[in-house]
Amino acid sequence: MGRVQTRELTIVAQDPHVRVRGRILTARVVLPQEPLLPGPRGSRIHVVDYDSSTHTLYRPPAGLPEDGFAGASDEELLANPHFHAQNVYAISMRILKRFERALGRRVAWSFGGHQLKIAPHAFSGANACYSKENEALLFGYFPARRGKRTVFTCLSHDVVAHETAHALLDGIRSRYADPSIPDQAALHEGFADLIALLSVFSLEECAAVALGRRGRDGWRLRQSLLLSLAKQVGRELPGTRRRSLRRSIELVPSARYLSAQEFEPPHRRGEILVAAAMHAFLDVWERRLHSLAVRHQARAVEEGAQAASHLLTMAIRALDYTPPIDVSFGDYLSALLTADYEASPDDSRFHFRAALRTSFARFGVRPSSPARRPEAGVWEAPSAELHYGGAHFDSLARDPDEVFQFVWANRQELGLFGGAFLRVESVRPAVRVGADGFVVRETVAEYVKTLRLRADELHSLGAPIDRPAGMPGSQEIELRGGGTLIFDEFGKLKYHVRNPVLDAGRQTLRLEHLWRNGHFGTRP
Amino acid sequence: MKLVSVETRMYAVGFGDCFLLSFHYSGKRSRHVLIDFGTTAYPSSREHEILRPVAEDIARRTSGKLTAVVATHRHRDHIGGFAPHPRATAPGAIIAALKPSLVVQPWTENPLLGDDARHPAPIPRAAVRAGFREEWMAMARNNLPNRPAIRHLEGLGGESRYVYAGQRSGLEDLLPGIRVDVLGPLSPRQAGRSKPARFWDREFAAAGPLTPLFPGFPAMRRWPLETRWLLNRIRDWHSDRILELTRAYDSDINNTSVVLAIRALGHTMIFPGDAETESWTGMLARRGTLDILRRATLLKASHHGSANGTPNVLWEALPREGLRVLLSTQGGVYGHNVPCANLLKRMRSEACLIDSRDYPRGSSVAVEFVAGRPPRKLPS
Repeated sequence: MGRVQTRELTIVAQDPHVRVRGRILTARVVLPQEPLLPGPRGSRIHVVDYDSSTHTLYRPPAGLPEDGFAGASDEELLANPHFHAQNVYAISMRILKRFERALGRRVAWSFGGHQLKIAPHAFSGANACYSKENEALLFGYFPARRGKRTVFTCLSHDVVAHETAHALLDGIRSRYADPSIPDQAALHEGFADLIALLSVFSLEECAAVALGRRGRDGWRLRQSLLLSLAKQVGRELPGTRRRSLRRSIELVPSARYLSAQEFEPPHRRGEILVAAAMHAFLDVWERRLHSLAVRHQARAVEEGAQAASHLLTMAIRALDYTPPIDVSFGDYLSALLTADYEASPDDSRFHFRAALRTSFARFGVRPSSPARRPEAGVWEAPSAELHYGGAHFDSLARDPDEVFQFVWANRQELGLFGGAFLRVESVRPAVRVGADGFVVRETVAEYVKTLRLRADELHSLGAPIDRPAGMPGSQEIELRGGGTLIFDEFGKLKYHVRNPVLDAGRQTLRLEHLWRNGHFGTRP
Repeated sequence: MKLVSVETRMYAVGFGDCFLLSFHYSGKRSRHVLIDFGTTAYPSSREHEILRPVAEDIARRTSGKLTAVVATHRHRDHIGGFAPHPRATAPGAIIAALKPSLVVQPWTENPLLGDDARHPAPIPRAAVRAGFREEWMAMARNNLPNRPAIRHLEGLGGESRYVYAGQRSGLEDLLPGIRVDVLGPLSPRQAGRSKPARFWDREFAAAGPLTPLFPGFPAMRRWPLETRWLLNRIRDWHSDRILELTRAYDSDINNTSVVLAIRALGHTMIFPGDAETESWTGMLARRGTLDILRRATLLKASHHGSANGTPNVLWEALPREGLRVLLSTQGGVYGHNVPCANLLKRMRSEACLIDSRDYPRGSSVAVEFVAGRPPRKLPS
């Protein structure tokens, strides 16, 4: 195996608003030393500095970009577009590498191409977005409320990480962008926020700022500015009096949010997920500080960064254990618990699983898995005796047709409804280091089921799926279900995580939500 | 003075609204209310061609006197005809000569509102200060506000009223025997909104200057081959985004529409301007609105028959028997979904739909309401 060479690049560690001793907090991140063309333009990311509002394409610096910004002044960081390009490249690459390391495989973009394009100054406006159709992340800029400064969303670590996480999640679970139950869109937003926040805390420079000199107790930690998302962007938006774009940690734990109308919009609802996870993270960090009686600042910082890194890996790896469609917060919690249980059956260092169960429960989120063994909330292994007779182990690890044949042979044992169209959408390898230190190779396959019918045919399915009030019987509707199959290194099915197409409660909720929000062409 | 009959006349003005309500009293006395007077055509001189004969017909039918004008909201296709013009034969001048005693507009048009008023301005002022893109400004000027008409309306009548839900319109005082409920628009407090800024407000306001951000750094005149696909895409995306924001703004203006329920002779007529889903949701949540809607015998289809203009919750609340629906619209002007084919199918099959497109441009069709009988379409 060849030696992996690395390069270090300077980034804005959090946000130009966050300053230490009067200077913008920066960090140096380590990335693989890949051949880069001007842009930077690498194998997975291509930065194109085009501004559609002024119709300007900035010329990238000639030659291979190296970090010329270590120790650069704040003025240069803010005013040099070449640094902005480096910042988005480095932050996005860092997030991408975290995903690949956690999942043990290359992560494909959902649009089929290999290079995600990033435009750090794409337009004039207080916004940024992941645009699948443009295969790009587009960052806006806008004038600050006070003074003549310009606020660049591309300089906010949170914003860049958030949008990159959207792109990566779309590559792993493309169906999560489809209209569905309220939790699904919220999970997209909440997950992206969570990755952004944990990505910041996993930098020791940031963990040190969060901890401060006296921040050894939970209250002080929870006051940290770093728990706010996109501080500068939020503060400078005209017409607002915010301190940041979002500060989910301030949600007082309550089970009422889930049913409150205020928490229906995806960004707002996603905050429930973020708050539950970040409370668990802070509980773990705080407990570590107390139980170890950490005296040295450096060790305390390291504990925080490690805890953030651990939860970040859990959050990413959990995606492999979620159903491919109509995901709920409860599904994601079970996936988190299962992913971590598989990687570290012994939870005694961080006690993260217990902390997550407790924190999510305070926000009214229970694991979807009713299992008590081997551990509460972890997905259950399939109980039925499965047929492996016709399956070829080697093909099962990469061939959707082979997986389909396995599913077909076991459709009754897997509890699949025969009336729906079934398609295996992906088969991916997953490699990780097991609890015993050995490399474990698993296979993750996803299938999706689709059933098209008229609303007045719902009653004929044998499941009590309700037609939304006011929906005409002639309305064409589509019911969807799906499952994730996780095969172990010997080709045996370990987990079957699924949302059945005839799950009456979920389908009723989905239809009602879509009908109410005008997804059928007419607004209710 | 006893009310004998009410005549509701819809003018076929293309994509626009123009309704003349004539209240006939004993002794052959009549009073008239004009609800909106606008259309959308290009160039604007074409609008005059469409509206002039309509204005002349209104002048004839009202015998030179309008009791009141209701300008539901500021969109050109509703009030563009009121715009002043030096020539006495212009539509705006003809209507102005009818000297309405009362002009009713939404509360958002009150010229006395201060800077802190929580209402959508014609063009966000911060955006003007920030020098927002000319292209959007052009679209905004063309499609959204209608300042001359608004200004002219301010001085058109003897009295101006700027109303929101639950207020008195002033029409009752001028029209014996009728009752008018103002169902909308809602004030921010009624709508439960504590702040005026929606996302797009902020985005407009936040838009920056048009000069290059980094003048000290060289730009590329020729786009490298490997970037052309993306750059063209971003440019198109940017245009789409501007259009989307403009539409969002457009919708918000629609939701400032004055929504009136006019009750007379046992009938209830609903004139909602261009109110869309957001506005209906708020109105339906208010006590009493559902009871009024359940008694409706006439509905002016909101927003030219768009799906958002008549959301399902509204349609389900309306009675079917005896319900007449007046639709003033034209296809192909406001995207392919206006009017909404599915909605029209339901309106046609479940109620009695009277569609302006079935009548020659400039002509009119009327429905008569008398006590104890269902509404009757009068011969053209």
